[in-house]
Amino acid sequence: MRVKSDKSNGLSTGPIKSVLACVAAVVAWNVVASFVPTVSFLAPLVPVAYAQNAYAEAQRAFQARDYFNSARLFYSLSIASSGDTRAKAEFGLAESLKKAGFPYGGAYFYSRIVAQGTKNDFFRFGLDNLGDLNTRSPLGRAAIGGIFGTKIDPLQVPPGARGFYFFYKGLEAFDSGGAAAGLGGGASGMQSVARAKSEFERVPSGNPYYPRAQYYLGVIYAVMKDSDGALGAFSRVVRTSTSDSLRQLATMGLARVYYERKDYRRAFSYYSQIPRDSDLWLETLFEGAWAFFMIQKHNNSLGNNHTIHSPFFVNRFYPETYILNAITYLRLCRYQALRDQLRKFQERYKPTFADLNNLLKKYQGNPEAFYSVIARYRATGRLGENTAATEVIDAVSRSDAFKEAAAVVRGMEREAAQLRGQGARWEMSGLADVLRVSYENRRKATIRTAGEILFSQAVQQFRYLRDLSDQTRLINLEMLSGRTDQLRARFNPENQGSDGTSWGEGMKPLNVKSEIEYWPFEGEYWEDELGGYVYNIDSKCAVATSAKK
Amino acid sequence: MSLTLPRSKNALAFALALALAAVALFSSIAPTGARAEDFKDYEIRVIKNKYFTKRFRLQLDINAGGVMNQSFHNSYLGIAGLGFHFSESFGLHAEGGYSFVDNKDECDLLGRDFNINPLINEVQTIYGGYVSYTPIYGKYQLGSGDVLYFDWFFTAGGGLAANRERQGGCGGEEVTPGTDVWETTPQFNVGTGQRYFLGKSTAFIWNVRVLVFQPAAEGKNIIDDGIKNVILSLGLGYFL
Repeated sequence: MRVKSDKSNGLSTGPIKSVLACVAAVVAWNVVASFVPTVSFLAPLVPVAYAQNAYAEAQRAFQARDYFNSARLFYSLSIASSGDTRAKAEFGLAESLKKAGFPYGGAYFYSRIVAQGTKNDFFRFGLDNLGDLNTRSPLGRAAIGGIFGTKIDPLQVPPGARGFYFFYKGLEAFDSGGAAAGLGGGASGMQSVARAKSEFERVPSGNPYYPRAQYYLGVIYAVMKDSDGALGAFSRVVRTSTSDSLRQLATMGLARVYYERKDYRRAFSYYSQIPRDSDLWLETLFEGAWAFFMIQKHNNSLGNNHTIHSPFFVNRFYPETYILNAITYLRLCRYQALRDQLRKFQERYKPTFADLNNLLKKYQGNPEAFYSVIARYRATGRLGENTAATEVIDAVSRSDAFKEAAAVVRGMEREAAQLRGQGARWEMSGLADVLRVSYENRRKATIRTAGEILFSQAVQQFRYLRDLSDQTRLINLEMLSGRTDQLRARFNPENQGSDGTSWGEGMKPLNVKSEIEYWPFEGEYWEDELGGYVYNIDSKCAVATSAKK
Repeated sequence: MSLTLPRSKNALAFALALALAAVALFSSIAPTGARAEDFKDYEIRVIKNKYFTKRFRLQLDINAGGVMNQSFHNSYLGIAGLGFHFSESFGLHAEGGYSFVDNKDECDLLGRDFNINPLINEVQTIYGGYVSYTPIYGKYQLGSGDVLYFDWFFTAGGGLAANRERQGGCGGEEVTPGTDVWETTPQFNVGTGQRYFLGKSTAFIWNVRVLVFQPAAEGKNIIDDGIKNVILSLGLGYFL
């Protein structure tokens, strides 16, 4: 090959032109690489100098608190680089998004870091930050399950993230077998419970996840029939938690442990600590009604259920109160009142049963749609279809699974709206697209997971209602067959003496030194009287026995 | 010149009767000392701790009031009280009040245009004590769903009142000398009122009473010549 050379000035220009052409190509490549996001597969060709400059520029923007700009720069660098540079850029991006007010956006990139395992230098920081973010903006079980799907050596978990890591590992084990173990799920269930226990015990004291871990430990101890362990764990929650709702749950746990021990007075002392404005208040009345039944305080038991049946709580799902009332009247030999309770149960819950059945058939296999039904009910207070199932839908909508999912969905939607308003600076770099897709995917995953859990809760309530209905039929049959005495004997707990204390409002003993007020109930429900009803009826059993004679 | 009973007295009596009817109709009331046996025929009762208890508590109150039944002058009273409740029903109270007086338009008209100077009995200060008896305890449910507790009390007491009997002073002319002497004379009073409990320690109190005092003029006594002032007061009580 002959190269024509320009010998006009006595120098050969061929080599100079080659060098100039190379430099021009490199410069052109840098320009292209900084603007075109799809060239990441060519990342190894990006010159190191460019990467260092880009990183420095992004860092400067971060330090100047221009997080929107630093996020854009870090993102551009992350897609145009590899190895350590990419890892640094992704971490910088996650930090920038967090500081810019996009916690879920930040969490998405932290998750990517954690998913790479310990070979990513920022694995520990990523896990730390995820744990911290989760305490303020719940990421949701679906997202966290995905994070811990990667195998992580527990020894590599940094101290700050140990609470987060072990709490969710414990929760994973608990969900897989914990609940089943409590209901006789067998050996594999107990193994999962034991694994959950060991994970929860590794959550360090003082960590934000410690109170919740202790609560689950309390439940596990209760399932394992270790009441001392349960009492200790629940007491630690009450002492250390800053969350009212968690403290109340733990207080309920203490009450239930004492109930199991048949120490009903102590159980009442804890039930009475739940304030009236708590979501758990009606539950305490219901469980307190059972405790009163056990100590043969029938008037207090009926009084507690009278509050639950008031118009203030017309949408709350407590079908078992009718059964409890029925067996209370059975004990008092008040058979007409017993039949009335069974009739009221059937009148109220037969339509509920039918409509719930329709709902479950309609939404089976469609958890997203079922979640929407619950969410719409929560937002509007009304069920658009199969309205007799409102009580069950209301009960399901109060569950932790829905509350957590709703918080995650709200968070995602809030950030997506923020992105529409403020994310214009990220459109060119493609970061906005990535975030939009991540929000949508995560929202859908959350709704799907929550919908499945809520559907299974609704199915459980359906079965519960069916069991109670069977019990009412059994009671009816036994009475019709004249086996009333045998029936009464079945519902008389062994060795349950009567308690001599007089109990008043709030399941507290009446203090004769304090001022007590009495009001007659004449069909009108006053809000300040809820929880204070006490029946004034006596047993007709002596009369019934002598009538038989 | 004889003076007919001021319309304000009739209006006040009517207002009181209306208030009593409203209380009976819209509230839930019970005797203060109601016990379980009072409702023994009811299948369902409410047994709860009393929202507001007064027993063995000190009451400090401050009230503003006015005399409602004087034709020719306005008396605006500021009254401070200190009481102690021995039980939910009975309490013993001490009080002191100071009055600010000004002439009504009728007085100025008579004095200025007709040179008529009616005899006016003014009270400057009152102090004394009274016993309160609270037979009724009740509650209202407001439209918001909140419940407002109240009680109804009666009072009877006595003490002293610094007062004078003046002639003139209407329409700007001088008060007739000898009739502007302030004297402290005995007084007794009976009344009724309500306390609306705003919290565990505070209450809004209204109170209407008839205070009879002996006029300052010589030779007069409280039984035959007693001057009746109907005083309506509103105030706040704080319970320690």
